[in-house]
Amino acid sequence: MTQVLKVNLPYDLRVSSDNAMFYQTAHDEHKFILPHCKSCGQYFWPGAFICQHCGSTDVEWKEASGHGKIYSHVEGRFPFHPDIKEYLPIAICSVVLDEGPRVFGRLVNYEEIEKVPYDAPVHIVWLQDDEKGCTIMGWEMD
Amino acid sequence: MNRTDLRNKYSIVGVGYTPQGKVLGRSANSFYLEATMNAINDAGLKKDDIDGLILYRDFPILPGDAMHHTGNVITYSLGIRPKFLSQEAYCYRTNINKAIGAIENGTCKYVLIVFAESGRTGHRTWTDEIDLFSSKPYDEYAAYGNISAFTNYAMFASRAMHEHGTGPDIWSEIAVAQRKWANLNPNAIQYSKPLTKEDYMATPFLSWPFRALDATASTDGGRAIIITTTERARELKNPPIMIRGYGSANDTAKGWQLTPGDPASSARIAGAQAFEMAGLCTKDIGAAQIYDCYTYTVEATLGDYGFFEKTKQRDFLTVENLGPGGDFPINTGGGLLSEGYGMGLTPIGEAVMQMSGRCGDRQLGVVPGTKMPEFMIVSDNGGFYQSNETLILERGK
Repeated sequence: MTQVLKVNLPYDLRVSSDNAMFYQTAHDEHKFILPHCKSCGQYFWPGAFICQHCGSTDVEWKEASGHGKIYSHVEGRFPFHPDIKEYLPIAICSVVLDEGPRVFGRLVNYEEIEKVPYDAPVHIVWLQDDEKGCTIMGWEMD
Repeated sequence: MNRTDLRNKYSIVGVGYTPQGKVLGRSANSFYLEATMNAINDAGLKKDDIDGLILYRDFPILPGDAMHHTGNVITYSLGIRPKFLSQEAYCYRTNINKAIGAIENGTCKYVLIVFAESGRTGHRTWTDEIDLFSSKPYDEYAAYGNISAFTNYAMFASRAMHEHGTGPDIWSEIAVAQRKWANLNPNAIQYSKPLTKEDYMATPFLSWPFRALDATASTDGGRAIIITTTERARELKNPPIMIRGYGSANDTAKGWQLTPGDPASSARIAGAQAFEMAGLCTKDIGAAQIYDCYTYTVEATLGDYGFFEKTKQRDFLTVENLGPGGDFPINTGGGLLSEGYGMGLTPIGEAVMQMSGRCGDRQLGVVPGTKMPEFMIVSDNGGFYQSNETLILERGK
């Protein structure tokens, strides 16, 4: 069962119509889905009207593993906007999924950012904000 | 058409500066006008000669201005009616391409490119969009806590620590080298503020692995340049600074999607185009003005241009090599990091001033251990390292 952490997010989640299915499915079912091209068979993210690899419009949402490797990570410590101050520090990472696409997320349950290894295997941990009614991607090292 | 047909056909003929730093009581609009008129006067032209006007990107307006400083607002105050008028909504870097295109196709004779801001007084934090547009966040990633250009570039740089063995130790060399140049430039915001590696290391991380000293800061001020044919430039008062080669390219991706060492990065492609058009290679280049929104941007750009192997940047990116008296001077006015944020016109303006011998105490060839370069490379970079325009300049006669 995928882990869900209850959190308060600093801002509302702004979602495009093209990627709404991703966040809605995450929020309602805690399921990790990806846009998948039926024409060339490749995955991509975020959702878009065409496949970014071959340009086909024959795209679908398909359940994915929710596993990948850390590509890069940073730790925000400075309030570039006043409303984010109480949430700091926030670690942000990018993750190369086992299915191929690179996705975004918060890095959770780590100790020191300087010691987080690149390419470390991670899995999805949904970060759910009940007040804002949305859920975003968190990543935890395996 | 072969791009080499355009080699040295176009020149930059004037640079316009304004006061910069914290300049109270001045609108962005006023800096646009002052920079524009100063460039026109510097070139020895009249404002009615300007038949093409290109503005760098539009930003959300700040206190001190009542409306967006669009091209129409600026041309109204200038009292000119240019045939070609252009302003991006975002940070694409295609200005030289547009200027040369507009002249080459016969539409224009003199194209002026300008950027101005009141970002210091108006407190642009690069996240103002959250407040100014609505109470809603700027984009999808704000909910994750990613609200600044700083964080996006830090993600790019963080991965490069792993890929290429870089890090704060190397970035501090870039910051200190450029500060030494700024200490020779009375126009630089950091003119009277020396910086050591120890000073750099003693400051906190704002977004690990970046410190404040890894980044440029918002500025009040403006800058402008004028492009025309080298043939027309020879009739003007400054020596023509010829565009021997140029290239532009655009990557895809947001900052967090960037890949250090990407063989198809915008800087790599634009740089290769510029070198090819110029008929030159890296060893012909005597100095560089590199768009340095962040320290790592300098490393990434010079690496993509091929000045060093990406894992051997440590030997090249030193205070001794890049700073005053070094073999490969970069950002000789202090750059965006230490001179002032004039977008790509900080590096381009400084390159033109250096190549025309107008840089006073920091002049290459005057600073001990330096010489006037025959060719200088200049980068302008936009978005999150996504858009690049590269110039190779040569002094004309």
